[in-house]
Amino acid sequence: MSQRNLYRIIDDNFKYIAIAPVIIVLVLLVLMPVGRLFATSFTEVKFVSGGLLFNPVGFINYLTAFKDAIAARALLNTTLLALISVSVEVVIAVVLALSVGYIKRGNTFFRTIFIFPMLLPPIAIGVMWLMIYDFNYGVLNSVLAFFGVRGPAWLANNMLAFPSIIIVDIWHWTSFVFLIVLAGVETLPHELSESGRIDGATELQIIRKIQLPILRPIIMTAIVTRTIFAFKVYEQIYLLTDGGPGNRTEVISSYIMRVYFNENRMGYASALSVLTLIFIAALVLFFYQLQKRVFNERGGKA
Amino acid sequence: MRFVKKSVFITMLLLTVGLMVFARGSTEQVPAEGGERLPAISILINESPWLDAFRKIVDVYEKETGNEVEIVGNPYSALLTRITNTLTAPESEFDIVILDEVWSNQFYDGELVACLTDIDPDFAFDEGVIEYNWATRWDHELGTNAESGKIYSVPINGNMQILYYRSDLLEEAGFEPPETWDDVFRIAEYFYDPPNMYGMVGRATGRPDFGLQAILHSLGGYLLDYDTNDRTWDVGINKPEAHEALDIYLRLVKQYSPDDYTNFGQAQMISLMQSGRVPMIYTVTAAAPNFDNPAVSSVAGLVNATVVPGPRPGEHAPTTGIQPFAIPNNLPDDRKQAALTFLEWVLQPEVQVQFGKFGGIVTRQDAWETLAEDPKFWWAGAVADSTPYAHGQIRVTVGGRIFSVLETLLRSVVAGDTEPAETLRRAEVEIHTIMEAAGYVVK
Repeated sequence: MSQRNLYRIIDDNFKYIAIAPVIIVLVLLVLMPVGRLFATSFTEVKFVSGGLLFNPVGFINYLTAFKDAIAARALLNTTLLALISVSVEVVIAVVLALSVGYIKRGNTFFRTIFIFPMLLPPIAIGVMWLMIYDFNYGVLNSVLAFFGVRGPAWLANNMLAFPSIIIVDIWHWTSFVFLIVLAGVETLPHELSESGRIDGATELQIIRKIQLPILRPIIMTAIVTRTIFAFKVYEQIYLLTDGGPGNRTEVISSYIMRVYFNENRMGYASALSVLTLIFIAALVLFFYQLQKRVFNERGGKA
Repeated sequence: MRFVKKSVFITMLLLTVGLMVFARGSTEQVPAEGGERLPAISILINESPWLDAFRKIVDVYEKETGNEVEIVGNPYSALLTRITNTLTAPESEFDIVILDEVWSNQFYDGELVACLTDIDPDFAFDEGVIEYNWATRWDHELGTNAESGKIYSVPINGNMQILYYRSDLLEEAGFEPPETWDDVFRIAEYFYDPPNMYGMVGRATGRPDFGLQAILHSLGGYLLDYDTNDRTWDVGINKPEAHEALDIYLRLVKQYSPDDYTNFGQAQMISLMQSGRVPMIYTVTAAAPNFDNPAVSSVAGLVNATVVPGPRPGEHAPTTGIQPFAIPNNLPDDRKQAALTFLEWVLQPEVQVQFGKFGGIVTRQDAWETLAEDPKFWWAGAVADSTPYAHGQIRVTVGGRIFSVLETLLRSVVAGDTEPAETLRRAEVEIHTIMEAAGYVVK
C-alpha cells in the first residue's frame, strides 16, 4: 500500500479514528466494570477450594432487594437527604452568589470564605462536626449549657439524628453549588439589568425577572450534579452515626458497604449497586426532561 | 574549570555509591549462629492499640534469627476486603494474614488458608496455648470448629471480655467488684448522677451482639447450638434465656447511660471510662493499656479488672474476640515454611511473656499467669481467671452475615423502634433463613 493510499484511508475514516481513544477509554473504564458489576449481580459468590466461585442464581438477588426493608429504608433516607439538602443548598447558594455578584470590592475574600467547606476532606469535616455535636463535650451543647439549657444527643436522638446529618451535608456542599452559580452570575449581561433599572424596576424585580431566568440552566446543572453526589453520601454517615440510631440514618452507600464488606455477599451487593445506578440514572433523566420542558415553555429562551 | 567540575562530580558519585554499599552492608542481618536464613516474610495485620507490641516482638525475632519480617498495617474496616483479595489472587502478596474469629471460618472452609499440618506434619499446639473453643480448627465433615478439625491458624491476639472497674470508687463506697448482673445494677444505681457520673454503659453499636452474648451465654442460652449426633443446628435467639438476656442488656445499655447511648460503641465506652465518668464497663482485654496512659486517661492507676459477671457467682461467660494468624494457601512451599517458623516462634512461652510485657494480648494461659504476678499488668489476673469460662462466637461460615442481622435488629430495639419480643422473633427467622441458605440443617 502506498503512502498516499494510507493517507487517503486515514482521511476517509478520520471521524472513527478520532473517536477511537474515547471509545477505548469508555469500554475499559466504564463499560467493563459496570458489565462486571451487572454480571456479578446475577450470582452468589462463594469461596471454594482456594478460589472464588460465581454461582448463577438468576434474579434472586433482585427479588431479595425488592423485599429488603433495610434497603428500602436506606434508599428512602438517601432520597430524602438528597431532596432536602440539595433544595436548601440551591436556595442558599443562589442568594450568596447574587450577593457576592453585587459586591464590587473584595468579593475574592467572600468567594474564598464560601468555598472553604468544599476544600476540606470529608474525614476532617466528620471529626469537626463530631466535636460540635458530641453530647458530653460538644461545642453546641456547651453553648446551650452556658444558657442553662441541657442539650440533646444530636446524633443519637431518634428525631434529631437525620436533621443533624442534613445540616452537615448542607454545610459541606453549599459551597459547591455556590461556585457553579457564581460562575453564571459573573457572566450575566449587565446591559439587561441596566435597562431594567432605567425602566424603573426594583433590584428584587431585576433579580426575579431578569437574572434568575438567565441563571436557570446553570442552576439546573448544579441541581443535577449535586443530586448525583448526594446519592453517593457515605463518609459523614460512617463518621457521625454509622447509620444509627436504629437505621434512621442508614443510606444506600453505607448499606451496600455493609452487605459487601461485612457480610461478604458480593452478588447481592452488586444487585443493590445496579438498582441504585438505575435509580440515579432515572432521576437524572427526569431532571433533564424537566429542564427541556422549562426551556420549551419559555419558547426556546433560556 | 570544566575538568575540576567533572572531577568533583565523579568524586561525589563514587562517594554516594560507596556510602550506599556500606549502608546496605551494615544493615544486613546475620542469621543466628547455626541457624538457616529463611525467605523474608510479610504480615498483613490490622492497625490496633497492640500493633506496637507486635512490632516490638517482631524486632526480637529478626534480631534472634536474622530472618526478615515486613509488617503491613491496614485499618480494620478494610481488612476483610484486603484479605479476600490476597487469598484469591494467583499468588498472595502476604505470607501471613490476620483473621477475625467472626469471619475466619469461611476461609478455613474454602481452604483459602493453608492447613498447618500440611506444611509441617508434626505441627501441634502444646497444652499451654489457648485454642478458644477450637477457633483455630475446622472440621470439614461437621462443618464447624471442633477439636477433630484440621488446624488452619494460630491464635495471636487473645482478646476476651473482662469487666473494668474503678477500684478507688468502689472501695470508697464499700462495694466488692461485681460478680453478678444484680451487683452491676446495684453499683450503677449508686453512682448514677448525670451528667457528672453515669452508672454503666454498654455496646449499642459496632457489633452490639458482642455485649449481649456475654449475658446470653452466662444465662445458659445460645445463639446457635450444634448437635453433633444428628448434625443439626438449633437457633436459640428466641428462647426464654435470650429474652432474659435482652432485658438485662437493654437495662445495661440504657438505664444508667448518657442520653446518646444509641451511638455508644466500644470507643465511646472506653473514652467515658478514661474520662472518669463511669465506674465500670465490660469490653475487650486490648482496652486495658488505654486506661493506664495519663496522656489520654484521667483514671490512670485507678482501674482494676475482674471476670465479666453472670447471673450467679461462678456462672460467667466472657465472649472471646480473638484474631488468629493464618498462612495463605496460594504461596510457594518455602514461603509457607518460613511463615510457620515465625508462628511457632511467637507461641513459645518466654516469647509470649515478652509479647505481653510489650502490651500484646497473649494466647498462652501460662503467660497470663506469669504476667499476673506483676502489678503493672493488673488486667492479666482477670484474663487468667476468665479463660475457663471463655465462650466463643458463632462457629459457622456465615458468622459475618448473622452478626450483621443482629446488629441491625439490636440497634433498632435500643433505639426503641421495635419491641424486644418482636426483635428476637425476627432474629430467629432471619438466622434460620441464613443458615438454611448456606446449606446447614436447622431444627
